[in-house]
Amino acid sequence: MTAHRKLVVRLVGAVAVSFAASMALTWILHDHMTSHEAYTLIDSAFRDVEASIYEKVNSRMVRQAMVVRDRLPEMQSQKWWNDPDESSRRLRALADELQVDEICVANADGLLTHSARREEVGALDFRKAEGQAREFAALLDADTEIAQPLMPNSLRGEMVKYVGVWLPSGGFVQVGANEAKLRRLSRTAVTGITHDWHLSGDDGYIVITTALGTVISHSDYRFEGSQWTDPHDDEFYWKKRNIEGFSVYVVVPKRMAIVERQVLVATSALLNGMALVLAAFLVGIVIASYVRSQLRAQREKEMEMATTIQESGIPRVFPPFPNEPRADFFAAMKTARDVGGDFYDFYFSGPRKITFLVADVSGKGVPAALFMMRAKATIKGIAQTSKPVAEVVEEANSALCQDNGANMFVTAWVGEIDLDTGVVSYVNAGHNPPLLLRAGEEAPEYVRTAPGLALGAMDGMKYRSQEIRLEPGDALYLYTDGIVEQPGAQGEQFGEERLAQVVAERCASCRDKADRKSSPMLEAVVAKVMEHRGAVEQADDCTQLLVRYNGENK
Amino acid sequence: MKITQRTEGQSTTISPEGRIDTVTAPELEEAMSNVPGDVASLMFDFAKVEYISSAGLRVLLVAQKNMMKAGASMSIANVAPAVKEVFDITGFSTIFTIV
Repeated sequence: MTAHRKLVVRLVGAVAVSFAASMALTWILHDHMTSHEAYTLIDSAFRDVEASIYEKVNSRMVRQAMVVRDRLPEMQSQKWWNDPDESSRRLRALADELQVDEICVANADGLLTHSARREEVGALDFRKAEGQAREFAALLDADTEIAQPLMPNSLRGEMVKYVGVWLPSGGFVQVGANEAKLRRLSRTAVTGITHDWHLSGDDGYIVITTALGTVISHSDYRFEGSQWTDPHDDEFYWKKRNIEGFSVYVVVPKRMAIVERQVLVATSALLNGMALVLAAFLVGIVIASYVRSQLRAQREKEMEMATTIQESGIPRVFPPFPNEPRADFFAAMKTARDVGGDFYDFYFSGPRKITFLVADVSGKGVPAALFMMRAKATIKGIAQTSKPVAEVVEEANSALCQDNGANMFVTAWVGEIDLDTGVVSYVNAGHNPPLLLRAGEEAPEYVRTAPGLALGAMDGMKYRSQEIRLEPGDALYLYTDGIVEQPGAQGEQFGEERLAQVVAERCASCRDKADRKSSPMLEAVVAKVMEHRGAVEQADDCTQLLVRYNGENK
Repeated sequence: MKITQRTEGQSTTISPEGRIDTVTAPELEEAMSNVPGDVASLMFDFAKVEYISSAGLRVLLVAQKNMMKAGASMSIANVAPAVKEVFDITGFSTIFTIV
């Protein structure tokens, strides 16, 4: 797939993802809001239906208490009234008749004087009582009725509902019923109270059932008498509560639950806005990564081009002078990923003279590679006029300073060897000091002479040449800073000391005159530098040139 | 790279910190463009420079040429041994005033 098509696919993907995220969020949010609305509606319906059930059940119980009050004068006239045992028995019979399970009478002082429960007679003072019973003491001071909701009774260990009515003669009558009795007593009163009572348009409904699940009241009366089954959570919002012994259900179908229009519009607008922002963000990421990858590809292409230019410009055939036995030349170049503009060169600059050099152009990439080609050609052109090496370098410097707006420069170590005498005339223009390997000595030595300025930096510079005399078997080792400045894992540079050590260890091999094609020493140095860098990237090109003087007597 | 720049009268001091290489050299070049045109003396304080590559040398070379053209002086101060070695090897110590 082309990069452009991939970009389009990714952009469409980014927008689709944003759209899907917005859809999902809208769905979740609306679902949350409708359920919140529905449950608010359900809770408010419960408040109403609860009030309605209380009203029905309370009046049913109060009616029973009033029956007792009406019969009281007649009972009080009986002589058994003052016999606690007999009166308790009679009141128990009355309680059964009235479908309640407790009847008691308190006198004007609040003392319980008569009860269907024999053990309670004289045992309870409502004025001093605590909790549930205490409330009834209010009937001693006001001509009223009190109805408590069905609630847990700690003495009896079950749910009990009590109501009380005042007595004109002072005191009050209290009637109690447990859950089962209360349900039986008030079932008819509650039946059908939710007829046609709808919420959420016509589709929400309210249901009252008995303990066994028989529907006794339904918004749609046709369901009354049927057996209740809980609605499916997938389709309905619903809640169940127990009120006065009855199970009450409020149910709203999900498909009918709605959210206010303004809220809907506001959240939709907000989420659409978010989707747009998200889309913009994702598109930004996709485009940024596309641009980055394009730039990387372009840069890689440029570096490839620089490598091609650089490598095409240097001599690659060894031995370079197969018919000249007096000197051998070996070279190796390992370019870095960001090509650094190194080069080496060697050519006849007179009938008995060969000029050789190693150089390093400032900067990297294509500009460095192009300047390298220019420097290489410039130096060669002047050197082949057989001028002394100092003049060659001075002229080359002036030539490279012309039309050099970018202020590029090149460090170079330029030598010219006299094949008859082994004398090397050289100029160091800002380059690293080479190593001199004497045939009889184990340790190589750096040829340190105060360097002149790198070429191309400043016009009119003077360069002085120096001389070394090579004896047969001696060699000169030239290199670029890519070798000595390569940092290791801790940032420490490979350095001149390590270089001298590797060269010392391997210089025996370079004296093998039989091999004119390659030198194992150069490979060993590169291997050591690569070992030193470990996981660190190669910082610069590593270039080496080894010149061996064999002398006349080969 | 952090570069501080101070101008007093006709003297400007530029103090780079860290490594001056291919990546950071353009920042130093940018700092150079902020040097006033009538500067009489430009000083690079290299107290906090750990390393300089050829890209860094190029920026200093351009600065040196510009100062020479303008008849102003340029110097480099507090050069660490590792950086001094680069100046020496490349021959730039022959054209820079290192104090």
